[in-house]
Amino acid sequence: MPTIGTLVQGKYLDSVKLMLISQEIRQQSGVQDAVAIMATTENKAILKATDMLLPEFEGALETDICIAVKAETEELCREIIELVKVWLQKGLPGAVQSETAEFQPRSIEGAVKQFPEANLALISIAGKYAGTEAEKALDKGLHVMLFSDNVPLETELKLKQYAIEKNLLLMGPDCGTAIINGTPLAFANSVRPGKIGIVSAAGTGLQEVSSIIHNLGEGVSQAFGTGGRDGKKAIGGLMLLFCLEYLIDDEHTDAIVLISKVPDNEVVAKLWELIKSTRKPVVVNFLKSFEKPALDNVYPAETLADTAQLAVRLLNDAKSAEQLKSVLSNDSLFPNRALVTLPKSPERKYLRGLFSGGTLCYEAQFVYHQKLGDFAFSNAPLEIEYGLNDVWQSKEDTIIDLGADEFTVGRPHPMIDFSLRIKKLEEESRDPEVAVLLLDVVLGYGAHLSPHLELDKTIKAIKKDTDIVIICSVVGTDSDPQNRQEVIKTLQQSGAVATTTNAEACALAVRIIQAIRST
Amino acid sequence: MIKLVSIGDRFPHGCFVQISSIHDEAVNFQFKNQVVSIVTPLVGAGPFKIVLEGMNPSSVRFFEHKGKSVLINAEIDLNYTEKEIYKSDLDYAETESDIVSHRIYLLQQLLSKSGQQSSLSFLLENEPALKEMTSFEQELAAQFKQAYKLLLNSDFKNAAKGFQGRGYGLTPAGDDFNAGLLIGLWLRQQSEKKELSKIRSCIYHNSLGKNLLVNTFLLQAERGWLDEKWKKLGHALSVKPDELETALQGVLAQGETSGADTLTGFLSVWKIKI
Repeated sequence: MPTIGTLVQGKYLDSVKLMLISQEIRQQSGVQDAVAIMATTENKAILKATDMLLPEFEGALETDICIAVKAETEELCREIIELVKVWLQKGLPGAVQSETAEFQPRSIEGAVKQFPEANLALISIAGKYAGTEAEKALDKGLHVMLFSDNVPLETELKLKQYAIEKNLLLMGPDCGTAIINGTPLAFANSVRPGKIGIVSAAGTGLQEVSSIIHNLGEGVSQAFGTGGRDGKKAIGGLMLLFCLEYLIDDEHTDAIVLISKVPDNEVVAKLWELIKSTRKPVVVNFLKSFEKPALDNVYPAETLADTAQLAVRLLNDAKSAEQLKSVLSNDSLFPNRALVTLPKSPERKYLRGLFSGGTLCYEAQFVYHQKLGDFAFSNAPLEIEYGLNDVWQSKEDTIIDLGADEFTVGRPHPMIDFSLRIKKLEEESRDPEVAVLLLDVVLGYGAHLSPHLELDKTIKAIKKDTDIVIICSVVGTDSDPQNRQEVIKTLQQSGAVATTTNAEACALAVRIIQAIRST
Repeated sequence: MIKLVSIGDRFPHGCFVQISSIHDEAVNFQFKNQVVSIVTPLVGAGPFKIVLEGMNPSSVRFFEHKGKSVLINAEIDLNYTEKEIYKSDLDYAETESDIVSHRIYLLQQLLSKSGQQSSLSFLLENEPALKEMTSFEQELAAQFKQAYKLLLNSDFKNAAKGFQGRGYGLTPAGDDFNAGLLIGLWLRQQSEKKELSKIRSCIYHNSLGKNLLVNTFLLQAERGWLDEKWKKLGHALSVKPDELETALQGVLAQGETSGADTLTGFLSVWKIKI
């Protein structure tokens, strides 16, 4: 298929508008792939990796917009490019134009004036400006959820110290999910209110655990996100400790879940000290094995599914163990429709994980390491020496986080836009050494509304042409905006094995790899 | 509540990830060169079966069997004790061979009364009912009759080959027949104290094909490792003749005609001059 591109100069559009335009182009009939993106060095590298770096883009300035369209004919490419130029000028058809739209505040002050009852600001702007806006929100007495990333560490520290001084939350930076007083924020799932409180420095970890809690019939009092760096020495676990203390004192919380990559030793000591002050059970998942402290109310869990199940068990400690077993199993006991045969070719022996959730990717690597004793290669590896030199090129067993910065510059997150993942799935399926493809399908607010329809065609095509085993874990609840049962059913009918926990999907994938290698 | 009712005494340890077929009452996993199953109590116990209560077998996506524990879908951990291990060997009580032969005759009468017309039981009668048969079925019946003749003439090798792989279904009728032959030979060896291992071995090796589920049934039959329903029938034949009819119904309940086809092979053993 021909790819044709053009440069638009002297026009600046924010990333969301460019993403929407890119998506809109891809939906045009006859178009296989397309992008409208600022010509930064990083973006050009991505274009190169995806075979869309055209000669005319090489010398483009960072302020230029590259438009590349891969379509059935050159004529169609040119037509689409002309259309895009109009969209760049006038906006997408159907988009609300500023002169007709409802008043959109352009500052924190304006927003507070317009909505004085607000007590939380969700900030999602470029990292270098986010700190200032967060500070303004804190000044106004608002809790802050800082969705933005690339906020300097020293800014994060200052903001968190200031927030604590004012007894306010500062969730983030890079905080993608939270459920506050029953309201899901950003990428969160529809979870019933309940007695389990969560504090998490791991975004999709929070989504997976809160969803499983819901699916097991319980609910969540609060689910705080702290941002992934909170447990580092430089931040000192300020928000982890602040939120944990809140949950300890909260009369609506009877059991607590704490999720984070292993924090700094001093932070861990402070967490144990705080937990010592309560009799509430605290399930701790540091996303790897750790030494249990001498505290009766600390319950270590290794997988996210175990974490949720343990919290539900502890909450229901009055019920008999047998009763609980059946409660715990109910959600995962849907009929399986996919047969599983090991690939016939002895060449097929490798696992490729293509994740949209960072924590889920991390957990997959942990399960891999736990069961095989070895490490998988990754762009976000458990051990630094297993980092991929080229994130676009998989190597042996590789588990990648497609939500990481290197893949999302100029593109919507893979939970929203499946185009990169589909491209990677197709690419991996062409590798004659691939035996298992493992992926997460994250549901909930903010995520793609019909992920199964995006994946259906690709999975069917892979299953038709190869005997690769495809395993999908579906993260979410039946109350999410997507129809979870329909998603599971469609994936199964496409030929994938669907599971309702990431831990199960990973364990199955690793066991298949083991079985292949032992034959 | 999910309960592990029984686990077969020959059930291997390991991790089971290859699903070869899914049914309402059973899910079959390929493991090395055989097939093991997770089934409901309706199917019953067997040497390579785990019987679960309170759970649809088709919900099992993979499982691990380690020590005395079965971990399903990396989540449901079911422990078992010696009590739950199903013993597949037939505890054959010595009985006069003539008495056994008489009970076999009774069993054949019961089978013919049971109306299993689409099964291979016609081989035990003089003429097959050819009514409403398609030309494929007529040819199949003719081939079965030919193989049956070879069996009665003690040409075990060609008889087994003549039945092997022929028929409809997941376990074709001819394969079921061969499995029945092996069970029958094993029982006749016990009751008549005759050395039949060479015949059994000949039939077994000439019955094996590419269908791993069938091969597993054949292995069971050759070794005398019986499923619960067959064990009850063997027991009825040796010591509890009053339970013969109930035991027969249990065997006939297996598959559409699978039980009847296996039973036909089983009864045929007493037609062979050994």
